[in-house]
Amino acid sequence: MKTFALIAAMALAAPVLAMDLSGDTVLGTTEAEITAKLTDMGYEVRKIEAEDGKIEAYVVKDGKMAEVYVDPVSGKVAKLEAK
Amino acid sequence: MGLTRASDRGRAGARDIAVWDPLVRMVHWGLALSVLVNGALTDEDGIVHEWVGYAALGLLAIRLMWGIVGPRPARFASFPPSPGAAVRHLGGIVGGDRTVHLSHNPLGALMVYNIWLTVAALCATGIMMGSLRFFGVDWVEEAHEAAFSWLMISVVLHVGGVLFDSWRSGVPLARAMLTGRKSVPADRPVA
Repeated sequence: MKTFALIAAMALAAPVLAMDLSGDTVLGTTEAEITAKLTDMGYEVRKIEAEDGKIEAYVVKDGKMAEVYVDPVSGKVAKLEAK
Repeated sequence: MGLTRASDRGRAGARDIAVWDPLVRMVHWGLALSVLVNGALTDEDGIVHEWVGYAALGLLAIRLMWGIVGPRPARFASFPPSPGAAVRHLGGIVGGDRTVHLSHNPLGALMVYNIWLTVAALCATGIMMGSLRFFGVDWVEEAHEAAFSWLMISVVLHVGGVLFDSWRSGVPLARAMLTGRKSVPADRPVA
């Protein structure tokens, strides 16, 4: 049962795991820094712009789409929205 | 409905003619509702916005089929898109022509096709924005926003046109889209 729960949890988490970004990931405090860092991590940055006090990046990796919101003060990922 | 003449239900000599079937009315108000909901209420990045968009696309597709197989006033043949006819219709208004059109009048017809095309463009660009190929591509998002702005302008012109023609023709048009029946004053020829 524990194994089943673990597998289920992994399956549910999989779409997010594919994006190896978490709240602790520091990406940078400027659009240029964030773009460079995300590109290094293998993401294709389609667009990056200021949005509601955050920096929002539209990224694609391994056929998956996400919007990454970065806090421009801490440089950390504030929110990750998989599409 | 400030310009619509009040209490013309059952007025002497007015003919009550069935024009809009239930499907036409459902599509009309369904589209209006989906534009209102997606334009003003839903989170643009959210799944609800997407589903409302698909619902609008479905309504539009149903209406387009109905334009071929539906009852006479609902058919494209009853309101062909014709700029020439629209210009002649404008001339007729100025010249005092009192003919009432049972389907859309030629100006209204142009607005119908304009709104359908604009909704189709909104749906197409919206779907593209969620596709891998066009995700985060700027011009697609800009086209989506431009289509929405044009839709808002169109809605204002549409409502203005309905109010004006209700006043001019004496036929309460908004009520006809609710009840399905046009109440045509006795002294007006119909086309």
